[in-house]
Amino acid sequence: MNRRYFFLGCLSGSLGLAAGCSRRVGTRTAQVSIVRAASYSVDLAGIMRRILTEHRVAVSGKNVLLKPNLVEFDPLAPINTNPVFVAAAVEAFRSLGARSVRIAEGPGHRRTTLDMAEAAGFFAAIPKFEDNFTDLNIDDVTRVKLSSPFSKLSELYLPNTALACDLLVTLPKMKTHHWAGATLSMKNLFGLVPGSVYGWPKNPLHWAGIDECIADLYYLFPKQFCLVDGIDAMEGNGPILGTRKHAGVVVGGPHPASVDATCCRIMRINPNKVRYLGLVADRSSWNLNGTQQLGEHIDSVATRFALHPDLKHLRLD
Amino acid sequence: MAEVGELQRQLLAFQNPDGGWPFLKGSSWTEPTALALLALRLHDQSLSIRQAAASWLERRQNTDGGWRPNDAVPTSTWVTSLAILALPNASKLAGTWLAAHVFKKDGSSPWLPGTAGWVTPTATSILALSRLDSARFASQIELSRKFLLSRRCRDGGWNHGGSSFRSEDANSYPETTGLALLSLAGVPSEQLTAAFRLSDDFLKNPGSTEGLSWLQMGLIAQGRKPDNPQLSFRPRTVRDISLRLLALAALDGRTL
Repeated sequence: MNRRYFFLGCLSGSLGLAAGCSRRVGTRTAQVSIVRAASYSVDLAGIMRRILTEHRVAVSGKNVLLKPNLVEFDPLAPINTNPVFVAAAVEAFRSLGARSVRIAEGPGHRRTTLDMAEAAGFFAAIPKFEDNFTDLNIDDVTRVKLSSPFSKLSELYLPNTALACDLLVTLPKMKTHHWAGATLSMKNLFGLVPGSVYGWPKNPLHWAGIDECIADLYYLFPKQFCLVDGIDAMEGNGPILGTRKHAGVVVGGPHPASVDATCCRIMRINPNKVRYLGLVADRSSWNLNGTQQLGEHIDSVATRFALHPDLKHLRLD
Repeated sequence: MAEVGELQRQLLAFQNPDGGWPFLKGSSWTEPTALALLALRLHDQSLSIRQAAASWLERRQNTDGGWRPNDAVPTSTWVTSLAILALPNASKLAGTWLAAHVFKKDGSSPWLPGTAGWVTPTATSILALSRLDSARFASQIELSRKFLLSRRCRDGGWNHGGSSFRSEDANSYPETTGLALLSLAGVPSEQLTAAFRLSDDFLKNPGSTEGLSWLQMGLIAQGRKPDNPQLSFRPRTVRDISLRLLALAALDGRTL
């Protein structure tokens, strides 16, 4: 499918919203699915298939890139997207006819990506993991110009594997973040930025403005779908030093900002006070408060996440 | 040694026709090429292979004296320090570039010019400036060592080296702890007691080839005799293979 056809296809989606087409929402509202999942032993692939079908995501024949969140490994802390969750996504997309399903990540702190993935259980949970994985920190790169950036950056080098996929599926862990408030679908895109160019951590993004860079990356990848691992999440001093918080949900949708706003409300964080969401709302016709929920109501699954003491002003209630 | 021979075979299998090395596959990058060249030199690998690698590296030096990380990324970056270590005849201009990117306020070095300093580029900068001319760059080296000593985690080791603000309880990593110790050779050992203790613990489960290799090189540089445990993981990338070869050379008395 070429780019033009892809966007025309998006317009035919429900509410005029692009399924698997996140950039420049054509209407003021977006749909986001919330599904209960008590643990990682439930039929997660089935849940994901239902969400993808609900949003009419065109998967057949597509080269799909799954982008989990793999940062550091601590057996006691839910830092990373659970490997069982990632395995379920592989199964869901393959069963819906994807031409290829790859997994890719570029951890922000450490260079031992595959060793961390093995320790975190990815090799055990996902058959032939190493054959189907790209370390985005050491992929070949292409320079991409930012046409009207939020940040101080005028260009970014990005990994060719990410630039070449037909559909980027972000699989973030639902976590608090001690700088940005929450790290969800949009912040997960930091892992696309190659350490081979920017270092560990990817400090130029911090200097250029964390929230602004999150928004820039969001606009650079127009073909996204989000599936958030909100089963065992992280509260407190996230994204590394926080503690486990059971939220028991999978949240999914084609519009990352709407998915993230929904997750914030589930975490009882005010999305109107999360700066990167505000940047997207200010620039587009997207209504930060206009998300249409599918499945569970937010109030029925909401659970108050502890926040870093410096971020209490982000509280929803 | 059979392990060395197998690692060399693996390393040569990754070499690109242009003489350089990719990280894993794809185009050649300065970092893996410099590490591979260093490793092959310490193990006296074929001169023609090393000449091809050196030639590839020499052609990637920018006119400002620094090295670009890859042909797609023209800016000079921290990889300059690795190129200096790998090329015996690296120019004074290269040292000037590297020294100019040591922050005067705290002695740190950035991954990319114009951003903050971190443990890894600071440590490799110390190694490269020491190799080039330890007398000429004595002030930068001293300041950089102070930076490293100031960025230790509570456990006495090092992670990436960020500020402790909102990360007071962050843990060290084996790989950055080993690299920091390597670059702190000559610092009185009583200042590093906690780091030695932590490194001995890390060696029981270093978690990666990279962690094990830097730890061994760091401890040897500090005059200690680290264990060489049986690998429970395998080298996965060109960096892994090269670092393993460098560590095995260090265990055999041949150092950077």
